[in-house]
Amino acid sequence: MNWSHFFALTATHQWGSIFPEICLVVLALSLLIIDVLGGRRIDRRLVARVAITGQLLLVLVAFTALIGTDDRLDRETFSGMLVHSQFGQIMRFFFLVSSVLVTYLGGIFLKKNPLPGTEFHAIWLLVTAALMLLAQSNHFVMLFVALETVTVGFYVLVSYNRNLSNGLAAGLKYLILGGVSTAILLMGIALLYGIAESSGLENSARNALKFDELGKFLEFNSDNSIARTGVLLVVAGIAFKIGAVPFQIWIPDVYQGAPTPVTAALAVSSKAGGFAVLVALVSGPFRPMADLLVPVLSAIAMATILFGNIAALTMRNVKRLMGLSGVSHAGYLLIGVVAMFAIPEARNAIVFYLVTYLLATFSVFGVMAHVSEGGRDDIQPIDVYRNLSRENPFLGGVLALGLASLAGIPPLAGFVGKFLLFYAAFKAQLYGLLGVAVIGVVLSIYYYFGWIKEATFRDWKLSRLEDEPSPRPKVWPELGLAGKIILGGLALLILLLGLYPGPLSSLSQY
Amino acid sequence: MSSIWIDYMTLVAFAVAGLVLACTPILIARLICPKKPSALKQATYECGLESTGEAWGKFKMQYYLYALVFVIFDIEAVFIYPWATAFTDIGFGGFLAMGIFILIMAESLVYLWLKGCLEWK
Repeated sequence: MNWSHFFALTATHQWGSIFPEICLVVLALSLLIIDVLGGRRIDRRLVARVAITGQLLLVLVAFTALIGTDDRLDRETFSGMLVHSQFGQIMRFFFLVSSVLVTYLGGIFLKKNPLPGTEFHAIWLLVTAALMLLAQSNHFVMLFVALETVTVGFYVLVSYNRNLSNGLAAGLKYLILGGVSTAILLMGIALLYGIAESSGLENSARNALKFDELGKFLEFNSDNSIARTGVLLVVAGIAFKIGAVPFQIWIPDVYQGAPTPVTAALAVSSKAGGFAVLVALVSGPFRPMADLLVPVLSAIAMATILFGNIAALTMRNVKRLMGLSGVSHAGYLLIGVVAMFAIPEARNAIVFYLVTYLLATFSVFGVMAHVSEGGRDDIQPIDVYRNLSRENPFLGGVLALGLASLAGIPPLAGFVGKFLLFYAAFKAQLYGLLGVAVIGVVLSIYYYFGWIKEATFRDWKLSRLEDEPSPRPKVWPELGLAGKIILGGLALLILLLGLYPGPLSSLSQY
Repeated sequence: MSSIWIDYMTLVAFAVAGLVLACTPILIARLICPKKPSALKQATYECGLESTGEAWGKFKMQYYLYALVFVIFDIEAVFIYPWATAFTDIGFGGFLAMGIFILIMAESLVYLWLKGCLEWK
């Protein structure tokens, strides 16, 4: 038999280029081994410590790679399955940082709830590795496999609160709706593959699932109705992951029932993963479909911003509130995606916005993980936060900074993120979208500041009536040194990036 | 009609022939067989045993666990088979790659074993 074809295929397998992903998987496997070999003798916290230490080392490695050499960029490996671009490197770093924070929150959560801990960390590491591959995928098969690894991992993590009926309901809802969205995405990929490789049309592709070859095909056949259906179905599948209207219906219930660290992961990593894919597709193969995608994505963005903000107004459970406010943030980011059709530099604004969103969301979820009670992870009413700022100024301050940054108040990082995004939309002349976005931001101030008010000003002047039942715990949680460093660092970064956004915005110039 | 559709006509003919061949014996049997039902004959056939209970009963979770563990070996076979046919040509690199793959597979088995998933409780 002749193996030359096989060797030609494997010639571009440069395993060194996916070193961080391999390390994450090895780390996940070693956690399981530590757990089974150690048995009951080992400390429960040891696994979390190993996971965090390993990931911090990887963050250092990834950071040196990020600011280092450029000659290794813009090349394809694994026969064109992956492409290593500046955008991919930044997203990779983003997912690693998010992963460390989720592991930290997971440690807090598992301390309060008697659930098996090792599997949580191991599955989360695998999900992160898949997300990092997702951001660099250059082929629909790679995209699909990575996305499915992420989703299957989340099926387990979302239903981790297995003692709570809300947790199980969340797992079931995520499983069924996730399965439907996967089917939609796969149908879109199949249609694109079928039409792009059929020999009857001009410029039919030889390897239609590769992004650049599909792009060439779509350039010449952008009015083909099957291709248009395929593109729409793929976008619909991704819209589920980012929680855009009309695929947002799972968000409140799943966010509420999932453990708090998993909710944070869904809000940040899963959403950013969807946007990484969308940005890669829109700047690559789907670019010729602008006449179809600009109106569709604009309509989705408008509906998403309005729905997210209006639905969040009445929420009293903070996890549901964060979920619906996350829907509206997906809407703002979609404006950037629409703007990318006119000015490709809007991608920088999207990356910057995602970073500010990560910082603010994790400061809020960090406080939530500390404040939430064990065994009642799904019930976190806003009343619990009453007088948080007066009795624990540090947690209250971090919460206020995070929420204000999410609302986009100057001089915080969230303001700069929104400014860059809206400026890109202004340059792309998307005035209608901008108008809706401004309405959305004004609406969002009501619920973000309602929460800050609850934590800070509720009993500022009036002393509380004695007979009113107090839902909050009597003693606020003690923060360890690691908690102070992490939450303080996040809050500091929110302030610094708001006052001096230079370093990061220059990093995303490409 | 273009040639691509003529190719598909073979498929259609094949499907129709298959349907006819499968359905004809059932139809003939229904037409010519004598009909003498009795209580015993109308009973549900379950491997010669009398069927008991309802079909919507609960199954022990461990059945599913066993099935999942079995998947490990299934996947292993799927990948090792093509690897074995190419073994002499792919050199030490191929050997190493499969060694790592089997190690990862074995790791999951060790994990399940030590966690006690293979013991029937």
